[in-house]
Amino acid sequence: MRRALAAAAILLAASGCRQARHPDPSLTIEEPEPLQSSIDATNPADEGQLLDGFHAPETAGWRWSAPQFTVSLGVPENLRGKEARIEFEFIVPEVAARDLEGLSITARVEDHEPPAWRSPGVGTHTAVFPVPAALLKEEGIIIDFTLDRFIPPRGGDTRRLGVIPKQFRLVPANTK
Amino acid sequence: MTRLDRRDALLILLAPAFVLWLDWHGLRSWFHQDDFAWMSLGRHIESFGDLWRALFAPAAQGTVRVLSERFFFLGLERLFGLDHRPFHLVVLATQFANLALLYWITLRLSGSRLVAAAAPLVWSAGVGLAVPLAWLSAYNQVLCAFCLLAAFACLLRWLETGRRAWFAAQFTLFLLGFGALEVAVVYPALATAWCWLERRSMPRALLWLWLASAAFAAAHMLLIPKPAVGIYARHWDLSMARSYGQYWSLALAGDLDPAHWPIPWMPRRVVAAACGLAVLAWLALAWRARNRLAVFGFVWFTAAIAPVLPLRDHVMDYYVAIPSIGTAWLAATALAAAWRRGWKAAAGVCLLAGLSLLYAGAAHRTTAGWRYKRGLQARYLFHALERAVDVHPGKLIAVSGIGNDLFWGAFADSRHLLPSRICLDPGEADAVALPAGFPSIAADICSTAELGEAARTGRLAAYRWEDRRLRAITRLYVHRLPREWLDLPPSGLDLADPAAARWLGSGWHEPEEGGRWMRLRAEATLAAPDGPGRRLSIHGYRPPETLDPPVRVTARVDGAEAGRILLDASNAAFHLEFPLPAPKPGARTLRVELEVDRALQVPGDRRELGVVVSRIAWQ
Repeated sequence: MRRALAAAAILLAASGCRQARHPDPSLTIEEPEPLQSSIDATNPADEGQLLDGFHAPETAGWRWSAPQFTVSLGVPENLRGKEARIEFEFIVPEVAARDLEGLSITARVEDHEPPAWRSPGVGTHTAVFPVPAALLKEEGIIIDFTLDRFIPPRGGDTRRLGVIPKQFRLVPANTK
Repeated sequence: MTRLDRRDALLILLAPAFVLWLDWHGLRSWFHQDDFAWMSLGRHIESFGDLWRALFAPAAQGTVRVLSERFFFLGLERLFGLDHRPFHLVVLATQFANLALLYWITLRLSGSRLVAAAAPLVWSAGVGLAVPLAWLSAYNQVLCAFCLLAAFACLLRWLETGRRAWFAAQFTLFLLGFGALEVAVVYPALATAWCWLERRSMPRALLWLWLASAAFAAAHMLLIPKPAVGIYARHWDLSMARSYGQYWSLALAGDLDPAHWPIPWMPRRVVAAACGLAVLAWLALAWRARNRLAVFGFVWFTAAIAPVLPLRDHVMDYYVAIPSIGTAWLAATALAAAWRRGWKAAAGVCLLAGLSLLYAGAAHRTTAGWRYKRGLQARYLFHALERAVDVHPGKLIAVSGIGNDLFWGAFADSRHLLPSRICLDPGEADAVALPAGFPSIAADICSTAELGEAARTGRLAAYRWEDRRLRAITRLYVHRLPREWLDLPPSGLDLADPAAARWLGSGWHEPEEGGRWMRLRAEATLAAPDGPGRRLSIHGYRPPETLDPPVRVTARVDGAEAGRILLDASNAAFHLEFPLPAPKPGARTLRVELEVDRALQVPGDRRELGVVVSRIAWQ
């Protein structure tokens, strides 16, 4: 009888063993809120706005883009409904001089595609693309960049390489 | 020899200790595959009828394993939630009982402690037990083994003492076996075989066992639908002989790929062939020497594997879990006989048995490890999905980056345990291979219409699976969504939502809490299905006191009757579900018409009232 009572007590106690669920926050990586209007491609804190088309960072922190890549930029309150421009700062390294000679870059925001920006060659450059006011009504925009030249897979590296992005910025149209 | 002493207690502990070592990973594996489906049964129980269906309605290829699957998962999930450890403890406790029973039976039948100690060890090392000890959905093998061994132990006591209580206990355990696994149907053959081997006669009381088995087999054949195609289709032909050979090969040498053979230059088939020939030789010797346990081992293996032999395209390692008790007796008796004949014979048998255990044991260990890893992946994915639902309550969760393995290992079934609709990005449907005979996975794939609607209304949360984590990609996902999807009609309507009115035709009253009343006829428009395999479901209600006589609800899709249901007091809250026809080329919309054959009259309310409809949706 005592054993039966003990067994019943264990079963009753067990009924309270159901654990409350507390999902671990680290199991998902949420999108950044709010979006930054200026992001640094080498800053891990801004990685959430490098949406697609970026290769893994190299040891020193910089990274290659693919021939097509996408970023999101926040639209600050002072830019809502006003004309602005996207500034894309990047590097064409010496090793890519021949492959990227005559490189043109396009940036598309929704259905708007301003004229392509042509790179002068090796070095650090800033491509600039105007954005009409009508596209800046929401909290952020998504920009699809396309390069018309890239470094094809070579040797053991199977990647298609674009440029080395440094910064993406959304600034007022009249910024000097 | 039936009384056990201290030596026996120590010898009994050998096999459990060995199991703990061999199955260390397997015994800690998390839920995966069908485990989620069994646990999700408990999420839909709101009435006695639901409970009855959860316990007894045929599922998973028409099986009704009330004890080993329904009670096991429903009960432990209710008590402990998604903590896998109590589940494994129950499995382990049952298997320890099995090992103790096998020791006792073997000691009783052989009179040798060597044989009695060896049999549980050989059984434990075999490949058959790897999955049942690592995958909770295969607990049916362990529990059925318990029922068969315990019933057989009772049979032996009944034959020894003649006491009816032992026969009754045997009969009860045998019947309980049906609640564990259909293989229990072979028990009368096992009991009869032993009686014949021991006494050259069959006690008439055993006819009761045969009667119960015949009744179960008849009910199973008549009441449970059998798949005609796919891996669970039955083939009553010569392929059964080939399957029988394959199972012997599995039991004797496992099923490892060449890359994992313990001795790289010795193929698995060579080990299986050598051990198979040795089994035949030993069987012939044992027959002549009247070694009944060895012969019974062969009978046990053959009888216990027989029910799965028609499954030509589904030869599985865990199907030899129960039959391998027979091979354990064969091996243990061979060892003891060789031991008595001298060191050369003992060395020969030890060499062969060692090879067999090496290959089968390696397969066992590899399988257990694979299950552990699969459970780990399932755990990461499930908890990440749980977190996503927590962060975005009520949103549609669209997931990409799930490969075929993870889809079947966790995604397909685990998502039903969470309160939100979670589905796979339609672009990844091709990455999932649908095994032959499996039902369509269309409902697991997000439809274009629901993605469009969720994106339009800001209720979409998109994630990409990246090794152990889900990364939110909603902005990019919405950005890349084809624009035409955003203009599609919805795939589902919540009738209580005033916004649903845009998609409703004639025949509806104003929305109320929980739905809206329809007249005798009503229409709604949904998006046309985006592919074959979609199912339309309609949820509704009518007060039970108004359902005498019953009321018929008929559903038509684009003018053709698609389903109907008769409502009475027992199913006043109804759920009508039926497959949708394949989409017509170019069709954007689907017209759903509902018709009720008798209106409800409410004093003071002049409206024509059919039924309350809460949701119409396809997935």
